Amino acid sequence: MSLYVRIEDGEVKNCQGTTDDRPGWKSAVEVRPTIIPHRQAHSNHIFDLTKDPVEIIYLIENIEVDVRKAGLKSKSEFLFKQIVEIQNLLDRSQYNAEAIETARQQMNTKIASIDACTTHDQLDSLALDNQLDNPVLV
Amino acid sequence: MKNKLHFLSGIPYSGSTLLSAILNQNPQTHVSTTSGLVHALAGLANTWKSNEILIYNDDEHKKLIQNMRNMIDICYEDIDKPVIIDKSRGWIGPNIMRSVSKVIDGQFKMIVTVRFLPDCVAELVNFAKPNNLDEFIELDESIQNLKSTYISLEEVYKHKPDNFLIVEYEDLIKNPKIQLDRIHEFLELPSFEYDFNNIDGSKVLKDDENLFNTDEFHDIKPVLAKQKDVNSKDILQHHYIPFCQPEFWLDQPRTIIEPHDIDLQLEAAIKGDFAEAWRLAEKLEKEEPNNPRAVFNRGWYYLRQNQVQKGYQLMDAGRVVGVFGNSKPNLSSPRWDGKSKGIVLLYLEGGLGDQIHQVRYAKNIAQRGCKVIVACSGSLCSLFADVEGVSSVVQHEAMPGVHHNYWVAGMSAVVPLGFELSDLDGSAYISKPTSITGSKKRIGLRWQGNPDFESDHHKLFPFELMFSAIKDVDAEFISLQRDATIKNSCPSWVKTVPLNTWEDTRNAVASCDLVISACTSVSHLSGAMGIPTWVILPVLPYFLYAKEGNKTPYYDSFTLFRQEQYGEWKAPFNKITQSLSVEPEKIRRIK
Repeated sequence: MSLYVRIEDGEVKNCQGTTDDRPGWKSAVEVRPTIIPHRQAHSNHIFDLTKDPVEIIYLIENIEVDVRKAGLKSKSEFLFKQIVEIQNLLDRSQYNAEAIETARQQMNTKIASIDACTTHDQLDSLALDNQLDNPVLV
Repeated sequence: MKNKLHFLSGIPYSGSTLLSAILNQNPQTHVSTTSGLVHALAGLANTWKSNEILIYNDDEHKKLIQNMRNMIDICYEDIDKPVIIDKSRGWIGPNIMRSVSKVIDGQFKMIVTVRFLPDCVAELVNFAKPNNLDEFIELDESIQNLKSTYISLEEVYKHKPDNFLIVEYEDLIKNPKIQLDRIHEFLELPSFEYDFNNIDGSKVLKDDENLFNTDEFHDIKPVLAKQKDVNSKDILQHHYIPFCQPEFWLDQPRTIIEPHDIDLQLEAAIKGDFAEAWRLAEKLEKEEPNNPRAVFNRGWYYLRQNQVQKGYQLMDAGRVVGVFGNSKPNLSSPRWDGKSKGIVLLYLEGGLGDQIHQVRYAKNIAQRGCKVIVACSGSLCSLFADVEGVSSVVQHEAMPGVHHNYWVAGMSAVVPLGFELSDLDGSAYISKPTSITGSKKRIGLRWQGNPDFESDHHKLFPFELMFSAIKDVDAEFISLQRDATIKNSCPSWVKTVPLNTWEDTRNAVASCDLVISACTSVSHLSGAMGIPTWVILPVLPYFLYAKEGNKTPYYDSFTLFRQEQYGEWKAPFNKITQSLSVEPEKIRRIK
């Protein structure tokens, strides 16, 4: 996608996908520095007006362990809810309480192991991030 | 701003006033006495945001910030020291800290004095010398302030520890120089030699005494020393352990608290070891005869032993510590003695289910020649209007304006009535509207109560067990579950019906041939209307069901399905499946 910034008195006044009749438009590109997955995220951006095209550079913020833990737990709970929803849609003759029970146990196990972690290394060793981002609903 | 502004706060009786007096020796720093600046700034900001004339946009926001800076400057215009430390517990709050960070120059820095919490509470007790320790601990404003300060501090410290310098009272007394060096490093102050043998606390003490309108609120000696030993365990008695809260500012907990017998009693009862729980109840009776929680718990066991009057009398002792979930109503009238004639205000207390249960006693009180006015939660008023014995119904908020001669606490109405087991009446007392019946039997399902209380009472069961237990029954099912988040666990073959008001719920329940429910307000309503109701109970049930067995004297239409082992819920649901298959007449259309 094309990006343009409009510069007035050395300051970025607009940033959008198209230009208009006002003066001062320059092409821009987004620069997203490499981050460490699950430990860092892109946050606010700054403009480097010395570059042509202008660079929209995203800053990096560290993800705190507690924040990552809360996210993983939330995803674990969401996965359980998805399995419940699947069962809810079935006819009563097909309602499978064991499937929900198993999913609940798996969720509880995951949450307990997440709770026990105090470092990113420990969370990495659980290998839950990708698993919960791409769940297999059976 | 002309001065550098920092902040001082602390848990009551943790040495913040003493620290103020010490820091004020330094010609570079001025520490205020308890200040109202935070409230003035909050007032200004709130007014700015809520007033249409002061439109809250970026420009106005800049003006607001400047006004707040001006307010701080005006507040301290007479102070010619470069560093101001404003002392107030009000600064401990995430929103306040965030807002003020934009106003001051540089990082928000707060010194907070802390101390082993029971020692702080014991100091407050020593100062107040209350006649009734239980009431003081439960209701006094100073204790509530202490609790809220601790909770707020824990919350903000967890998220922004770098904004705080925690100073422990004991450390300040034992090693003041080290603590003052820490403060200087934190606030980036030039070094200064403090005189710990010549502390002048007269100014801060005088200001605080004027502010709090009391003498001897604190006592700061000129020479730094621990003022007196506080034996908080003896002073606080059974209140000691609840105040042994985590010292979250430490990496490792310093104090390992042994569980109190009340905690052990609860642990035993939750797991169904009632013999051990009763042994502890008897032990507590000897060792802590006036501990209201222990007395309350003992009442539960007397109910289990069918000693209804004694059980309720003991449970009533728990009222002072809020065991029924309500504070004591602010009524100047005397409590009804069971004999006097007049207008009796029946104060229904606890949750909605509790209140539905308690309204039954209006009939019994009216039979003693009294006029009964019921005070209840607003949402229940319409349900109770035609209950036998009820003259009129008011919602709790209107209660203080209602003329009456006596009042009765709903949970304890059995006490003045003098009831024993044989006096309890399990017949229906809430009217059942006529409902349209279909060709199929209808079963109402309620699998969870108020989510705020479920875990506490260990009564939350896996909902799928309920659906699995009933799915093969040839009946129509309706959900009596109102809460949106819980409704998500409801299968599509369980119909939903309007449940927006208690009148809706009454109509829905009335349309059922059977209600199967967790121990919830809906089960009370169903029982009160005489609808056959199967209630699933945890090992340690609500006090109405303390007596063993699958029946209860409170609701004739109830059948109780008890959890047999803590943590395991399959047994009661297997019994429900079995009952539905072998006793179909129990759910035959009866209308």
